[in-house]
Amino acid sequence: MKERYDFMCEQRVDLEDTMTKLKKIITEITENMKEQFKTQFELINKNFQEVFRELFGGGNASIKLEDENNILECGIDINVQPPGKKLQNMMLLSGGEKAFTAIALLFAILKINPAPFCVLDEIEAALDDVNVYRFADYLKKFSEDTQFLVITHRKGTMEAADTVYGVTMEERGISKLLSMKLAEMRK
Amino acid sequence: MYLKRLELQGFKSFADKTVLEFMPGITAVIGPNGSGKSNISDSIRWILGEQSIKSLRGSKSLDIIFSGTQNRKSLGFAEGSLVFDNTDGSLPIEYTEVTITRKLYRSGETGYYINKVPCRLKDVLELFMDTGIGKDGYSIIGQGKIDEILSNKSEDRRNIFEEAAGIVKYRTRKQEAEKKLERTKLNLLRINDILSEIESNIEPLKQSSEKAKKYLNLREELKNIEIGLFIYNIEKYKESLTQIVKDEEIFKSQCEEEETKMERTKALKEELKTVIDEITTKIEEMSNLGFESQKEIEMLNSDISVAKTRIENNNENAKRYEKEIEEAKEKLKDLSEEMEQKKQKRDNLKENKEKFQKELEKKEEELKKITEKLSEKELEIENHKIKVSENTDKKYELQGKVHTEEINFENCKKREVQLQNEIATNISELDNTRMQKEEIAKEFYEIDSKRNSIVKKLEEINTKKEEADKKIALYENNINAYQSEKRIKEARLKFLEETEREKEGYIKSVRLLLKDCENIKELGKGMHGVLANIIEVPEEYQTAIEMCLGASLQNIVTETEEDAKKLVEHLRKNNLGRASFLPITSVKGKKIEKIKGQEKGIIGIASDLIRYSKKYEQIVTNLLGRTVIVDNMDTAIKVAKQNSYTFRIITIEGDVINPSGAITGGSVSKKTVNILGRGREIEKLQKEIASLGEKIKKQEQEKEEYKKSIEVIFEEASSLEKELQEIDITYATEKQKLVSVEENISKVEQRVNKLKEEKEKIREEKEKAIENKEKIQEEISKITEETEKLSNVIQEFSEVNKDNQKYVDDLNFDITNLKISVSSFDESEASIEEIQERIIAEVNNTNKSIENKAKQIEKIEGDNINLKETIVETEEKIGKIKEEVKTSGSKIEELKQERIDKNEILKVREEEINSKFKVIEDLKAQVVKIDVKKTKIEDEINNIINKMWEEYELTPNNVKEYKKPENIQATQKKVLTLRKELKELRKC
Repeated sequence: MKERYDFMCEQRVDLEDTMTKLKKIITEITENMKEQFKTQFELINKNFQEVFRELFGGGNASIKLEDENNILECGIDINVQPPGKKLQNMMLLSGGEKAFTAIALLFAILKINPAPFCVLDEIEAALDDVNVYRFADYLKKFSEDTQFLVITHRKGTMEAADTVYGVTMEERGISKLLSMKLAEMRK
Repeated sequence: MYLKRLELQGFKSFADKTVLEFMPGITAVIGPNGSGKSNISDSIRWILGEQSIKSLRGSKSLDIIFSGTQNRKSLGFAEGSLVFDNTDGSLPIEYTEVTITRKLYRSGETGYYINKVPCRLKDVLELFMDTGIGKDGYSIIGQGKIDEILSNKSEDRRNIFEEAAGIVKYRTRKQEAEKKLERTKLNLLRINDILSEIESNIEPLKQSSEKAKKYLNLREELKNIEIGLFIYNIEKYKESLTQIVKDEEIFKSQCEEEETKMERTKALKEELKTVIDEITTKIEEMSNLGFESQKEIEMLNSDISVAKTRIENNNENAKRYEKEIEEAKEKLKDLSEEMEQKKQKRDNLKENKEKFQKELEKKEEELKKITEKLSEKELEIENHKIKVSENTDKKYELQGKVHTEEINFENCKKREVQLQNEIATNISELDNTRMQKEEIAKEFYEIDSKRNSIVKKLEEINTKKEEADKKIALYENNINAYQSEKRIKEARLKFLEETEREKEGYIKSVRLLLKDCENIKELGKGMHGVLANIIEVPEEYQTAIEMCLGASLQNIVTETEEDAKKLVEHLRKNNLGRASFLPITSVKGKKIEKIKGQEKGIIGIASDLIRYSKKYEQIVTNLLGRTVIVDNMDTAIKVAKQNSYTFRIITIEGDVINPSGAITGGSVSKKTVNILGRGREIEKLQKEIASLGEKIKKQEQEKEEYKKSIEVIFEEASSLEKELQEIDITYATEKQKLVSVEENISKVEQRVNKLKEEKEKIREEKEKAIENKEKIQEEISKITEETEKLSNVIQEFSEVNKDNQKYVDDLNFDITNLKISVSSFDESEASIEEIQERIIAEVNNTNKSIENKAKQIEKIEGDNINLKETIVETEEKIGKIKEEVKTSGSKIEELKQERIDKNEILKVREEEINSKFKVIEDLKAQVVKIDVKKTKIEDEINNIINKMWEEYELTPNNVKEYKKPENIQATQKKVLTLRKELKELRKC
């Protein structure tokens, strides 16, 4: 019994030690996160404004932290002002404008932190023809740093692609793949 | 790093193995709706560790696996691999190519692999952390993702931003640390609990240790006995178990034996079956062979007949070709003969031609010589001739010129004469016109002066006339003024007369009475009229008197009381109302004798101030004899005081002071109908109108007289105007005449000047023409001289040259003839040559066709030989096939017999198998029974072992030191008692 008692006491001291260490680590990590997130967020904001202006041909846009004191938990607000309209919340935009704004944000992020590849599943479906071409131009611009896999129905996007795969369903319920390498065909 | 390849198998709609090769750049995936495009993006997310099946558009994880279609079976697993190129080392792993694979089996098993090595999901997630690729990152934007980015909940957007900001790694690490912390906390809590418990338990434990010792001893005893019992039981059970196992083995071996036997029989049966099957197929084959052989024979026969007909055809063709060859050969012969003929003809032609040519050459040489001799002299003469003809041409030309100059001269002369005449006539005309002008001017000035005098006279008269007009206008103005005044007065008069006639302004009774009096003579007798009509009031006192009399103004004056009575009765009788009457006979008045005070404002006693006829004196005095009129109220008050209010005082404005001292006054309303002044006004108006009428008459008379007096002036003016008009007409015509004459003069003068100029010009021209003519004539004479000289020379030469010329002409004629014949020879030679060429070509063609045909014949012969050979071969084949068919028929019969035999054997075997099968079934049932028994016993043993373990923590292996009891029943009793004791101990 006594032995057990002594052993337990020793253990307790050990555990208390670990706890303080862990707490210290957590605060350190949190500080790091805060700092990094803040700087990156500012960068994204700046790029978002630029990309938005290029895509919309004017206007203004910004992202904002809802609570400056709680950077790591709070929500993020997006405020946009398409050319010729007043500053408004995302929710008041038309479907196409919304999609285009989201695309602008995506490109802004890719500009800072280019992902090695990016899959875009019909994100430009709601855009009009002119904007689809703008979108496609932007894709081309970024395609040096990022590999894009776009799933699309729009001609403008297809025209920008180097390789085109066709998916068909010759047999019911079974997808089949057809490949067309446009870049080679162009040659 | 870039994505090289995506391999899918059994993933959703990608049933077959599918490989997508990616290149750097943009890869588009297109296709109709529902073709499975989005499954590609889903698959990438799945491979990268997506856990939410909902986001992969499925309801349970097995939906990921291809689930089969109407024509396809479902698959047992889904697999997807992503192959990355990692030559740049951006993935933290030491491979240049990294393959991430995820597999899911239908059993629910799932697995991740990095380069084919199994790993955990965490490893995969860590590999891609902060590359932006993770399942929550921004690299895979699905169809719903856009909505999520823009979703209402701004917290939902964080994931993407965090991935972009690269803090996901930290977040996971933080979460881990937090988890660890939580665990540590829990551990600490537990340890503290335990420690406190231990601390509290240490004392009571000591006390109960003795009791425990006793308990332990009892327990030890029980343990010894019970374990012995257990061992005994175990051994007992084990023995029976071994027995059962033995039995079982016996049954099993029996069963196996039977089964092997049966298997053997079955194998035999199977063998038989296969043998039978083989035989059947053989039979079928053979009968099939019979059919096929028949068909083949037919086919071969038809082949033979085809070959035969072909041979016949070939033979015919060969004959035809041979015939054709012979024909061609004959044609060749004809052609060579023709050729020979043509050759001879051509040679003849050549000889003739040579002859002609020689002659031609000779003649040409001769001609050359002669012409050379002639040519020098001839050239000179020729030149002369040209000169002569030129000269004659020139001469003619010059003569023409001379002629024109002469004509010119004549023309000029004529024109000169004409001009002279014209000038003369114009000058005389000019003189005439000037004289005319002077006459006209004289007349014009006379008229002008006359007109001026008339204009002056007219002006004088006009001023007079204007004055007269003014005066007349004055008269007329006056007349108009009088007339308008008269008209106004007449209108007023008419109005007043009307009111008088209607008796307006009187009260009703008086008015009606007056009217009745006018109508009824009897009634009117003795009535003098209303008081207002009887008195005449000067205008200035009118208001005062009116105020003074008041209603009395309308009193009716009668002669006697009787008259009054009569009228009153009339009023009553006709119910006309009431009226007051003043009978002259009865009414008496008294006048004021003296007015005290010498006030300036006193005008007089009212009765003295109005006029009336004598007979009404008493009435007037009665009404107005005691009334004084003054100028104003002040005077009135003074007078009243001085006279101590003995009479009535009235101002001009109508204010009254009565003898009682009462004062009545104020404004008086202007009435349109003034009864008092009415009669007087009517009279006055009538007088005025009459005087105005006279005035108008007088003015008009004066006006007429004046008009008569000035009539002469008017007449004079109008006659003067007439005169002036006439004169003006003549004046204008004369003036016009003068102007036209002056114009004429200037015109004629101009004309004369022009004519003179022209005349001068023509004179110059004339002189020039003469000069020119002389010059040209000189030239002509020179040219004629020259021409004569030259023509003489030519004459001489032509006589000498006559003979030579004739000879040359002959020669020329011969040469042309010869040339024609030579060229005709050439032509015929060329035509012959053409014919020859044609013949040669034809010969060649014919030769070729002969060759071709010969070849054809050869071919046909070869073909025929081949065909014959094949016919022979085919016939042989047919023979063979027929034999084969025969043999196979007999063999089929044999095989059928064999099959029947074998089938019988097969039946026997099957019966055997059935009987064996029953035996085996019985045996198996036995085995099962024994098995049940065995498991029961084994359970018992296990129970005991378990109990041993539970109670004493012992296994059968380490109980060797315990002994088996000798008396089982006694031991069992002992166990029960010991247990009871222990229970009691435990209670306390």
